Amino acid sequence: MQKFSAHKYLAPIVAAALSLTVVGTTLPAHAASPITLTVWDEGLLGHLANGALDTKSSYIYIAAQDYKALHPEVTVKIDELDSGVYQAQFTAASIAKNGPDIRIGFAGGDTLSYSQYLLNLRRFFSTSELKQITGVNTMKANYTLTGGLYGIPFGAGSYFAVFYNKKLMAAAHIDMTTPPSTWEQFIALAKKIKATGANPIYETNLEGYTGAWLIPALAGGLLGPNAFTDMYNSKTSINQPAMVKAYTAYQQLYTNKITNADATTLSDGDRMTGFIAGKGVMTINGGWSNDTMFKAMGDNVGEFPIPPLAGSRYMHILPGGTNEGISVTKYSRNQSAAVDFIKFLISAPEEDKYVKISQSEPSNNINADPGMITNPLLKQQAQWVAQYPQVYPFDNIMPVNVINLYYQLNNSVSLGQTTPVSAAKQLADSFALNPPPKS
Amino acid sequence: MQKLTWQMQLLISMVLGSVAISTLWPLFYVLVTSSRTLNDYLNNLYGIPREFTLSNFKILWDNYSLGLAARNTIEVVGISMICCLSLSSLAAFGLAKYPYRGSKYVNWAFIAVMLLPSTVLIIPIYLVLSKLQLVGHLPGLMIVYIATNIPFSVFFLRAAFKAVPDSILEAARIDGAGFFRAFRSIAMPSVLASFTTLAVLQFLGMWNELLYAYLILPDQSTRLLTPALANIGGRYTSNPPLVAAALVITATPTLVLLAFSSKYLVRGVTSGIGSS
Amino acid sequence: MTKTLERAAGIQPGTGARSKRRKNSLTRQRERIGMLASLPALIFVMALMFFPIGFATWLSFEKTNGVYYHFIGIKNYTSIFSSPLVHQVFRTNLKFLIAIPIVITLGSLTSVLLYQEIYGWRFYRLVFFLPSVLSASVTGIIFRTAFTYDGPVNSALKLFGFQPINFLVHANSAIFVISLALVWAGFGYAMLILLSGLTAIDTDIFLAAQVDGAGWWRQFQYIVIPSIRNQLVFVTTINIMYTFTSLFGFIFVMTAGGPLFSTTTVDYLVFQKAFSSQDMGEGSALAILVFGIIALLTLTQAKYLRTDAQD
Repeated sequence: MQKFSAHKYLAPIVAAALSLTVVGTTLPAHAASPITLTVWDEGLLGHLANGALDTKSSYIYIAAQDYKALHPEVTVKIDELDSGVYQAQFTAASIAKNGPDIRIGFAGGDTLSYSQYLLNLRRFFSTSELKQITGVNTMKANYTLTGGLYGIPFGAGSYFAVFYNKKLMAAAHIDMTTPPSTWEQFIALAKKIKATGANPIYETNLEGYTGAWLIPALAGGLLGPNAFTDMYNSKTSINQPAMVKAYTAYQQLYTNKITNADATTLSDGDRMTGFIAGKGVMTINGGWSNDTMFKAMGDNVGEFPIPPLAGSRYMHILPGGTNEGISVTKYSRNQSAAVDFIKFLISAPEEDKYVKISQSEPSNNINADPGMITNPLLKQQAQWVAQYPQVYPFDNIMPVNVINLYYQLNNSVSLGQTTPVSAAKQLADSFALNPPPKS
Repeated sequence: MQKLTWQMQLLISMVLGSVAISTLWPLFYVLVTSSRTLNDYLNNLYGIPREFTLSNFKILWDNYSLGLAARNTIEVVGISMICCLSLSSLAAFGLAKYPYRGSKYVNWAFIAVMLLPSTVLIIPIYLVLSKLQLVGHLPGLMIVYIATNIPFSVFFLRAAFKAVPDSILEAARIDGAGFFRAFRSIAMPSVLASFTTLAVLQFLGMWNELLYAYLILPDQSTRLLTPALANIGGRYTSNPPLVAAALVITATPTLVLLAFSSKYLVRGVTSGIGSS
Repeated sequence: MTKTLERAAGIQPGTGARSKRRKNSLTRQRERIGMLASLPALIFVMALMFFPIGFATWLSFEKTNGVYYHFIGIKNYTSIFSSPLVHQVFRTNLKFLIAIPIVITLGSLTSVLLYQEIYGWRFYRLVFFLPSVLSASVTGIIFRTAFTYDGPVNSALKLFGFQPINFLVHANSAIFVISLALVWAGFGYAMLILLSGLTAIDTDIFLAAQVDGAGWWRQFQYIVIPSIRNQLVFVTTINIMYTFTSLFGFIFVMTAGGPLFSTTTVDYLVFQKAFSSQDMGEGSALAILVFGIIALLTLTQAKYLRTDAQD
């Protein structure tokens, strides 16, 4: 007798297939008492040693451990994501409401562009708590006092500067007692170095970051501290002569061939290593490289502010500002625990610890211990911040799509494939297509 | 075909030999680089390394949770393969030996989506999975891998089952073997080679997959090995020996598999076509 | 249902009329088994392949970021068709087609040589196929490293007295390098498929040709190529599809679509639109367009092969 009851056999397989779905749907239900906070970091608070993540010397990993000691029930899990896919992964995960509890991103546009997935933190922080820290406005929708607060600024911000190798400068017989004070002088200086046969500026601009640091100095000199917030709030146009002038000046680095020939192909990761290895007399970089440079070069490294164009309205202006913003996601199941962790991070002793470990930026807590700044490069940057007005850079302010185009255009302009006029126009067009979120 | 003269043979051997070198040299170079220190590498890019080290692998292991990623990968690939292979072989056997009204269309349906690229599917599949709360969980990716691998698997195994003579199956049936006994003790053993081939192909496909793995499992606790290692080779890392070590880990399982199963692979690749 | 099946199976052979009925119910029962066996796989494929196509089509008429939806008719399509960026991206995809003749030529020459069992053919078969099993990220990173300004390729160029080239920063040279990676990774696969076509050729035909005094090259032209026409068509179609749908991994690790979109391909743009620009509607419209191209190619290929078989 045959028994053809095929579906009896098939049932377990169908069940197995379906149970996969069931497993998946039941997984997210967390147990109540021990809490795991997931933190996604766009490589901002993790420290790279020789291009590899070094968790032992990364502030955020240390902070997670210290927090665990204070609050044994809370485990903070740090996840360093590759900046190449960070935006896509955060967007995708947020649509699925399955992203991190805490997001660490660049302050300004990079955070505000995702405000629809982020928690308005206004009601979680008292006015007095917010008064303890500076840079809060960079995390508010539309940068207005009343805008929703979509993140908490961490650190007083990184500033961009020209760094130089003192020995190589001396070898080129150049006296640096008074560094160049205008862009034109800077270009002339670089040409002079080139005449001696050395490479004046070690440059790595594949990602277009150099432009992102120079443009605010140059356009900011012409337009002032609100140069880019005015553009963001449509008080002025991105497509204006000052931007074209800034792009034209920036392009001079490449048309004058005062950088290494492969500048436009090298990745930002090579910038510091190359400069330290003596591949150029000067380099353009930011405060995050203070620590590595000083450790590798000691007193041999000097710095001066990026000089504005001759005849600028602001002859001293410092491009940079709040760099990191810490946000809580709307869909996080541990919002209050996440807020508590952020409060821990921005407390004076924690920020002091961060400054001590990283030496990349001062603390933004008003009760900070200035003695934590030991790095002479950072000391000088802190002095400039006290002395000069600052301009918050274009790529900190604009919506993410505009920022992405901006980096690509910066690279393209340095390659001579896009003209300064066209770059300014394309940015304006993109801004018109991607207006800032209204909230 | 006409034999080539020995001069021609020699010339061709030289050409093919240099193509072979251009294939093998980059892999060899990556292997050597992965065992160098950064300093040694920077001092002498193409020379013979002066010191060998496993420190790059140790750095990867210590800082990028590779152990966890390996476990996740084994889980995802293993379960996906088991499910996909069992579902596909059942379907293929049914379609090959138990035709029914409309089975032609079912078969056609599998073939129609066989070449459907992930470009077309990624957005809707992502949204569906996120509605089902499967994003960020290993089963989410498994379901995608199972579904996207079924069409080719059914197509491939159906052809294999077709080649099993009806007379043997008929004899078994007369001996009282039901569907499952016929499947288990006659059909499967006779298509074992094709089955192995398919398993190897599926492993390669899942191991090398990047797009779904990136989007569905972004979190470190669920990340798979290939995307974790591709991250290290991302555009922002300036440590070539470390990147090389990541490449070695990514490539080794596939190359080892190729070495052990090249016979099956060759057959698997070439049987994708044939009857038009 | 089980009872029906069991009863059907239990019916004893009998006279003419009864045996006919038995056959009918037996067939029906076998049909049911076939149906049940193929059902689970079919459900999976319906849910995760057929349904998504419909879903994507619906999405392509929406303005959506995956959270908010808003019907906008054919606006996504009109904006795609009028977007200079999309035009540029399709042109870029067409440029990547240059890899295909190289893959085909290399593939057919090597496959014929392997077919002739040239000295060491087993070794070559393994080695040439080897890159095919590597992940696109591995191949991509290897080629990116090889073609950087300071990389081995430029070092070799300098050795021969040439100026080094910034391969990856100019659109055409970057496309060239990526195409080279595609050839490197892909010709072994083409070779194997063509080889399978060759092994099916009746060897007598070569003997006849030799009697007629046809040399190697003439045999290649007039016997080999026509005999493996089906395989050639298949390899070509597969590669064209691949160019439109599967370059993501390579582009992602080698150029990220830059400089300034000059190496952005359609599949990369779909990914960007959907997940970086949060514009899933337009991403879906693009994806549907790609789907159309694939469907067209498959149908063309099927038609071509069928008429060929009828010759």
